[in-house]
Amino acid sequence: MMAEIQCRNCGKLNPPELLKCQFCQLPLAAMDDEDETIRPGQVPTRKVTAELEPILPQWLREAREKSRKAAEEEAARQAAEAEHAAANREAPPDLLAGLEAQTRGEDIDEVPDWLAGMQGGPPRASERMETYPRRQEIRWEEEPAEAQPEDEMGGLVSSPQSEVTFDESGLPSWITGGAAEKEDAPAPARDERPISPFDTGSFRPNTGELAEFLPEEAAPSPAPAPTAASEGGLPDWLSKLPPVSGEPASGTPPALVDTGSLDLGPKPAEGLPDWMANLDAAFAPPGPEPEAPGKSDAFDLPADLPDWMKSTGSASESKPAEEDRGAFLSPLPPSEETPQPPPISSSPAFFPGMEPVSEEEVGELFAAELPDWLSNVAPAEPKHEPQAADAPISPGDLPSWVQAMRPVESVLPEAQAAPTTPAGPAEQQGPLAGLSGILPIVPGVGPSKRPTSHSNMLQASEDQQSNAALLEKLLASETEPKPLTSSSVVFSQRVLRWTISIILLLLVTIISLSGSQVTPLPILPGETFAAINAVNGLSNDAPILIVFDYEPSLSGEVEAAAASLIDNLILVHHPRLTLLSTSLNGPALAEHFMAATQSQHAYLPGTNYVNLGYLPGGAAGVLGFAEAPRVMMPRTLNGTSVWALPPGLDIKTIADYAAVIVLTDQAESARVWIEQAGPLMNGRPMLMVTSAQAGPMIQPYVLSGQVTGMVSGLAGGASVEQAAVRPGPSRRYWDAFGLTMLIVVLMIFIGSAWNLVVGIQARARGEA
Amino acid sequence: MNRPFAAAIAIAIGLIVLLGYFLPIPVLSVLRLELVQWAILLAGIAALVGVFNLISVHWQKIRRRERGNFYSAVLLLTMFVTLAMGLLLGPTHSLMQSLVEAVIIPVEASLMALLAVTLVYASIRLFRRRVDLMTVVFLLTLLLVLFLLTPIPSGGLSGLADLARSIINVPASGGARGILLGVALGALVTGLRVLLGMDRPYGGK
Amino acid sequence: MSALTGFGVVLLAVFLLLAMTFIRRKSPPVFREIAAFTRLRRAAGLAVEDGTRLHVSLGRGGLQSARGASALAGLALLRRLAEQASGSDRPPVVTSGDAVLAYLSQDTLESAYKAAGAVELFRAETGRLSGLTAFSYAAGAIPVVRDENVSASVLIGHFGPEAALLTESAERENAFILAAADEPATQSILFASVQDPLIGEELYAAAAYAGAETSHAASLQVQDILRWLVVLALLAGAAMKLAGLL
Repeated sequence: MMAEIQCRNCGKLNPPELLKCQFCQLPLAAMDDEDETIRPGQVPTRKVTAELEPILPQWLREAREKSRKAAEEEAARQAAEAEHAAANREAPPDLLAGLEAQTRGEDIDEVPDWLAGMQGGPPRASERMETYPRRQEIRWEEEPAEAQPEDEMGGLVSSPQSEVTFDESGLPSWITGGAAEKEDAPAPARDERPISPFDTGSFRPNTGELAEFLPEEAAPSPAPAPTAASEGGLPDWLSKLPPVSGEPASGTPPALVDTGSLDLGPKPAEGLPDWMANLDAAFAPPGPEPEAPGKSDAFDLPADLPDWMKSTGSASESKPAEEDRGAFLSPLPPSEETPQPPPISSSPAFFPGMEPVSEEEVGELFAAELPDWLSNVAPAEPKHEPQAADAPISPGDLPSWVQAMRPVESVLPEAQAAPTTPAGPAEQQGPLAGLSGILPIVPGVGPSKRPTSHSNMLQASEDQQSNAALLEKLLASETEPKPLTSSSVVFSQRVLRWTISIILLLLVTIISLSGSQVTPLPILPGETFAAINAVNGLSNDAPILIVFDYEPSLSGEVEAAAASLIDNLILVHHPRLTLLSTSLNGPALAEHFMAATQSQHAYLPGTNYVNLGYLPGGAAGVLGFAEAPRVMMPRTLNGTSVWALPPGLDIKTIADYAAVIVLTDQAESARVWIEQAGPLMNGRPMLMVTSAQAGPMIQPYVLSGQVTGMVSGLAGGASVEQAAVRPGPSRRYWDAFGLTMLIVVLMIFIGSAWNLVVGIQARARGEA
Repeated sequence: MNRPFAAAIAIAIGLIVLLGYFLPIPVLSVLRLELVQWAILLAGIAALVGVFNLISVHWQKIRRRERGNFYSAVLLLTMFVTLAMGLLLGPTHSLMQSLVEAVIIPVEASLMALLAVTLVYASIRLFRRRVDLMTVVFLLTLLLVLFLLTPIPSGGLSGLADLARSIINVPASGGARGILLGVALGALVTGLRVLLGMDRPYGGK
Repeated sequence: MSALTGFGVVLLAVFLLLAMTFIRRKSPPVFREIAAFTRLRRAAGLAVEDGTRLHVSLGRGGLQSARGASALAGLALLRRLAEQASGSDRPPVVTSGDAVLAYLSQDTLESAYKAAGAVELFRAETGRLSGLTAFSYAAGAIPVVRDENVSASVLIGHFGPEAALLTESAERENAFILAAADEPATQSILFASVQDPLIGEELYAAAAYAGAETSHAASLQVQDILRWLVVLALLAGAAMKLAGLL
């Protein structure tokens, strides 16, 4: 039977044979072709999935046939066992699901241990997750609060609130109880309706998602019939379920699809889905009253359980009927608050008011909506299957978390040998809360003899102790916080700096402005006397090279030292001067020198002197200029040819100069000229005018004769002025220099003495 | 340029200049002079590149608004103004000379004067920094030489100036020359390391 | 004659350097303890750990002069320090007073970062020309110490008296200072203003103490051998002078 086609434009139903909507005349097929997904508000189209059976692949058909045969056998077996099963049951511990899966040898390599243990099988295709409703979409309607599983451990926690009971059909109370209440309770509020896949946009056809939330009127169910059409999309975990059979519950589950005539074996007698029948087969029907501990559950456990699971409770040993029960559940105290099993409902609690669905529809439904942990509840190995009940699982086969949870008996032979208390004190906390007899309370579990006492004293040799002391000292010095420099110390340092600055500034300013000349000039040094003699020995109008190689910062000192010597030179011989610089500011300093100190001679640039400018290259440049000055410096700063001007007419090498006078503030510069140009001067005099700091370093060259004479610092300039009997800048600075220097000596002396005393006192205090 | 190739060039040129300096071979002397001129030219270009580096650093400082970016702006502004004036007026123009005399010399002289204060302060606090034999010798020598060389109005100590000069010329200069010898040996070995390619400050190693 | 003598000294130094470099020693050379280098290693490590900056000032010794040797020694130390500090959030910053030296400092930094596998962290502006004259160089380097969170300042190369300004600025920032200069006058200034100054040729041992390769240790051995030869020559010359042979 084909469903009517709903027009997507107007929303009205049309017969399936129509190609266009009879109301709006828009094509219907095109709409279907565009998108086969069901839109929100659209009624799902019924399909006869049984018609798809022939198109299934061969292997799937064989698997289904085999499954049906196994289901028939299982149904017969479970029907016989159902008579002996306990009436009221505990929820199957999901804890053991993983064991079952492992004993079957399923491939769970790709699944973590904890996940495999929780699920009992690997979560296969990831795409399945896409079709599953999200966790929060699973809503168990009318689920009583006391029956809600608090965790996903299958109700292992035995608190009354979390204890799960099973009704006669094997359904857990959180399923049937809800249904029982449903019969008495009003319909659930609309807002409690589970989130529709349509709303979330996650709906896909043939996944069974609609079964959860479809209202009763929206599921017109024909006769229930199993369908295999959707089995092609069954997930692995569902296909691995044992064949379903058993006593079907009364009533017929609602079917969303027409199952056709597909024969899947014996159908549930009363419409109970086969997965529930499987539960029924696995668990004995609950009795009207909760029985003694250990009798509350009777589901089958794998026979290859480890010993510790089987030997925990004596009940499991003494009562053959319960020997397959999960032994660790046997000591559970009977829960007086366990609700009475409700009458068998014709439909699950989460299908309120719905007609029973077929087995495979239910399977399909749970394939889509059951959480993983619940998917392992139903599968149970046939009891008659040969199982090595006494063969414990080797530790290597146990999941890691199970090994961690093993009781001590399984580890300690001594404890195993001891008689186990049938019902020991129940654990109050932790994962074993509510369980009794799990942890041994027998004597001798611990170490049998008194542990050897060890001295707390560290046995270390002297070397080790010394090294440890050294390490401790190092660590202490590293971790010891350094005292921050206090603001008072910083303030005192600034005050000291400012005090020194003010004293020096005031002294120099006052004495210079006063014009004092009370301080006698220094005695003429020998090297200065040699320099004066060298200048006096020059011929008139001789070409002289003057090198400016000092920084502007020291121009005051060097100019004062050289002013008198050059003044005397110009005054006596009227030489032709060539000015050259080996520092960047040298050309400007040369002009400044001529203007500031030699202006009285009215020397004109280009006529009486020429400024060659800056000679780069350091020692290489000096050497190059000494060898070929015309090549190295062909033009002046103005761009004119140097060597056509009067100062450079006869110059081809440095030896053509009558003398070379180097004004420098650094011994290194003087050394460069001495070493690079000196050998090429053919005995011509080389004079040095240096700063006071460079003088002592050049002194050896004077003594060796490589330098003819030297004027060093302000003292040298003052002595030249004294010898020439001409006033100069050195004389003007001399008094300020001398007095200020005297104050500086006193400050250093007093300050050093003060700091020395303070330092000694501080050390004495520190040592004390 | 490939760095091994650059190292080879550097080593070869270094050896030519070195041999040309020591060995009286005309070809080597000519080569050495030519290479020295190239070095001078490159040094001038390097100074220009250095100025661009200076501009780049301070421009980044201004762009990122780092601390002291105002002074960087002043630096760049005065730099470009001075460059424009030098290009337009020439380096020998009186205005350019005035810039040197009014700005560069006073500023640098002021820093030198500040250095005097710094040195006095450091000398005063030297015993706070460390107290050992060498520090005591250093301070005593410092005070003695300064005091003996200091001109005083009465001129009473001028006769002891020879003692100060003796200290300067004999022990101080002797020690300084010893230091210079050590420095020269270190410079020699360091230069040879570069010459032999053991150190390649030009990026190779 | 003097030129040939100098050439002979150079050849001897080359031979010794190569021999000391390539001859395998049974035991590693033992250096005497220099407190400044010990403190430098610690300061460099602390700078990396606490995210502060390492400032290396190479002076203003141009490679065209004899001052360039001290600059080369400074570059060798810079290479080691840059490798150690390449993982720092704040890369080392280098200031120079010579244009060629500034360019070489950039090249050295880049090589160090490449060797450390962190060339992407290299920034060309970390190698700076701070000034072309003595005090302009110092004036340009002082703000680096003050403004860029410098915890260790290394002064190595050719310096004049302006080094005192640099050391004082570092001291104000409570930064570790290692100072080495080739000028004796500057060394006297540093002796007064720095905790552990390097005197004499200790400047050229910086790279070896910073954990450089075998050739640096060989350089120190060659220096020692040459120093003993110079001592012997001076003693022989003085004896011959006294004997009237010279």
